[in-house]
Amino acid sequence: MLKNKVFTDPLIDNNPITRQVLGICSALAVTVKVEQAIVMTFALTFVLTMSNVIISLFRKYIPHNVRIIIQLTIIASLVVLIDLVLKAFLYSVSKELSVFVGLIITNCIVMGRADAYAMNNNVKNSFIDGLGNSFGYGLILIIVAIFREFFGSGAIYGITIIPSSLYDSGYIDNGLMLLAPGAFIVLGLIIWLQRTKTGFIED
Amino acid sequence: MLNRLKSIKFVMLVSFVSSLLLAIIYSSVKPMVDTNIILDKKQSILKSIGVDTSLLSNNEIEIKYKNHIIELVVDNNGDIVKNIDLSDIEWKENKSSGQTNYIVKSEGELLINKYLPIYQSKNPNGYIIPISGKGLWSTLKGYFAVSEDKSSTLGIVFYAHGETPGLGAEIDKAWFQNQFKIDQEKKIFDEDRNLKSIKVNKQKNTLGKPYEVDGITGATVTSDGVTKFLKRDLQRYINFLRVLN
Repeated sequence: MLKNKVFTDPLIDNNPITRQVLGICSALAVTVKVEQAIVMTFALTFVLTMSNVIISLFRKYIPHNVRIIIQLTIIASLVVLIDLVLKAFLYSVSKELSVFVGLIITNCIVMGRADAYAMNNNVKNSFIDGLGNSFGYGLILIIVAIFREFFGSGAIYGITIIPSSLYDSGYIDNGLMLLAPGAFIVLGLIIWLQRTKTGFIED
Repeated sequence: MLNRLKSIKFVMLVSFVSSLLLAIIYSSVKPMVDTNIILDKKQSILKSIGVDTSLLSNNEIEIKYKNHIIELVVDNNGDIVKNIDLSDIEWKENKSSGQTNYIVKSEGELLINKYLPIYQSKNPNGYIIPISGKGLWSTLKGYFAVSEDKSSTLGIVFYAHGETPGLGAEIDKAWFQNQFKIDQEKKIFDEDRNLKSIKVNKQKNTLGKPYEVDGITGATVTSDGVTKFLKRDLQRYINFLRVLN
């Protein structure tokens, strides 16, 4: 699978966040802590691969003029489903994430992949495409979260990294990193770095 | 025309199937979700008096709760009411102020905020009062515990809020909540039994000041919100709290 272009393309070269600039909203919202970013990645992976598979399964029957409504219904059902499952089995996690899980419905990546890929490709490829895009999304999310948690709270994955002696000598956490602009800056730097390397220019 | 009819039929079918599926799943996990919510509240109540529940199983939490907590109802005059059970009270949030209204149905009449829920705790002895109100983005809900002298604070806990992570959401963190522990010697009454409540002070530096705790940098509205609704909600219990038994 690692050699499959459908899987590897969205990881870096055609990353949904840095290349297509989709799913920015949640990249800002859930990257304050690494833990939240990881749970969000899992939730999105479930929704995106499942919606891709289901939509690809019915792609020949879905009437073209109402396809967006159908896709939305399927995605929304999956999101409600995972929200319920989290509430029933992982209540403490769902308490921390509940709003963000609900917001997966509005994540442009899910709709984008459903309409652009799953509607035109077979189930197997749609499944792999879902996985690839989820991981590409998660990769960026976790990188941004590592930067924000480190500079914003002096920790990574809840474990304090910056020694207290540094705080005693006057070091202060950068509060900006905890706010949305902090995510914009980190994300902007990542996009800049990537585009400098690939030479990609928006038309 | 035929195409349009086909589309409508298809949409209806998809909607029907997905709502049916969700309805079935919802009703089958509903009991589990409800138990989780009640258990979470019980956990918060225990946490407010300093009982650590993080490593306990659900059953152990129930047992701890039974051992530590007595559910009581008091009326506006501060008397404990025996013939109304805490579970008879309906909790309803006022959406604009975030305050919880306590409604009791009695002989076809709705009595609003006449009877109030309160929890008595044993070991450590004290009283736990539910609090709620607006922060910056959301309604904060929690419990505030005072010791048996009805003035020294035992603890504070928030079980629901939607404040900014890293800023307002710090009210959920140990450093903030520890300021309300008994060893910090914070009090809600002065010597003459006037309600002072606790002020969340953004200037910080509140060590040794009995009616203040350190606020949260960058979260003025949340800090002020807590100050405001804590006093407002304690005020409702004033007749009960002022009298020492």
